[in-house]
Amino acid sequence: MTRARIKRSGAAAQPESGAAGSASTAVTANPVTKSTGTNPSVQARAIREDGDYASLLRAVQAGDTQAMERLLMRAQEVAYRFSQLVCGHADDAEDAMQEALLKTYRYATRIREPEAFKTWLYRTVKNACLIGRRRRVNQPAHLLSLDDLVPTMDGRRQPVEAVDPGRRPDEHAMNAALRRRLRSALAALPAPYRLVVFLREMEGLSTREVAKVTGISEANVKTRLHRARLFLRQELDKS
Amino acid sequence: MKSHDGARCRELLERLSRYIDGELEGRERRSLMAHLRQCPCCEEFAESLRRTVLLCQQAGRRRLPAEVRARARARIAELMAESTRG
Repeated sequence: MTRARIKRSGAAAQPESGAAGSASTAVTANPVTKSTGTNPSVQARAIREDGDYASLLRAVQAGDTQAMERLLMRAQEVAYRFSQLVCGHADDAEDAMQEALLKTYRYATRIREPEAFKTWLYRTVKNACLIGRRRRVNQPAHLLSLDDLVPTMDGRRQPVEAVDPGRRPDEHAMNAALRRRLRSALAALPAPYRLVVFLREMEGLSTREVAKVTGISEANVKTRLHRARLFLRQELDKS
Repeated sequence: MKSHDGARCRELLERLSRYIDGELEGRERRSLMAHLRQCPCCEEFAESLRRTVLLCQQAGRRRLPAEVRARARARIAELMAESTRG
């Protein structure tokens, strides 16, 4: 199998500083329910997924081969979604999946704190995708500020209008057309903001976990997330 | 009905994500909710932003396409077989 390009040499991947000793098992969900401010289904999903990572790691370290296979599939799934939604280059997905597969395989039996695996995995996938992007000549440098893009409410620039009830972003079921619109909106978002949206909203990481993966403060995570949400809302409302 | 383009609305815009995420508490939360009740445009904007968040959450965690999943399984099988041999 040439695509897999499996290599068994090389040093084992090590967790980056700050990950192994302090990753929390608690995951803050993305609550959206208006009345209570919490979304039980999202919260339950996030807790379950996080718990799965730790329990999978423990099973792997106890010699459970099936647990290792599930973990390796999980790692590749994360890499695929990351490539599709953050990097935006489908061609890089297989390379990122391969990288995640090999590094997870080498690292899984060595990690001392299973709770640290999750943020390690996302950092590893992020780095693999960034390496793939650097190889591309035409990779756009999304470094502009969202301050120039988001709507303002001061009346001097584009005022916030009441949205057309007929064009609400999630009014209909999540279908292919809607996913395309969201993907276009995400593609228009500067990469640092897109990364935060992906990790926080789509993958269900907590603010603290996103901060660890991205290397920015929790306050900056929240700021980027807010601006990204405003931008996406505007883009979805336009389309 | 209050005007939509005042300082109160600008302040609201900056706090909407914290409101949606359930991070506003006490007087701050009550104050914002009171404003939303009085300003239909801001209320609609908040709802629109909340729907955008939901849409992003729904778009996450999708299963891999069948052919991608098959290749992922093949890679795992080869890696596991190689580790057994090695």
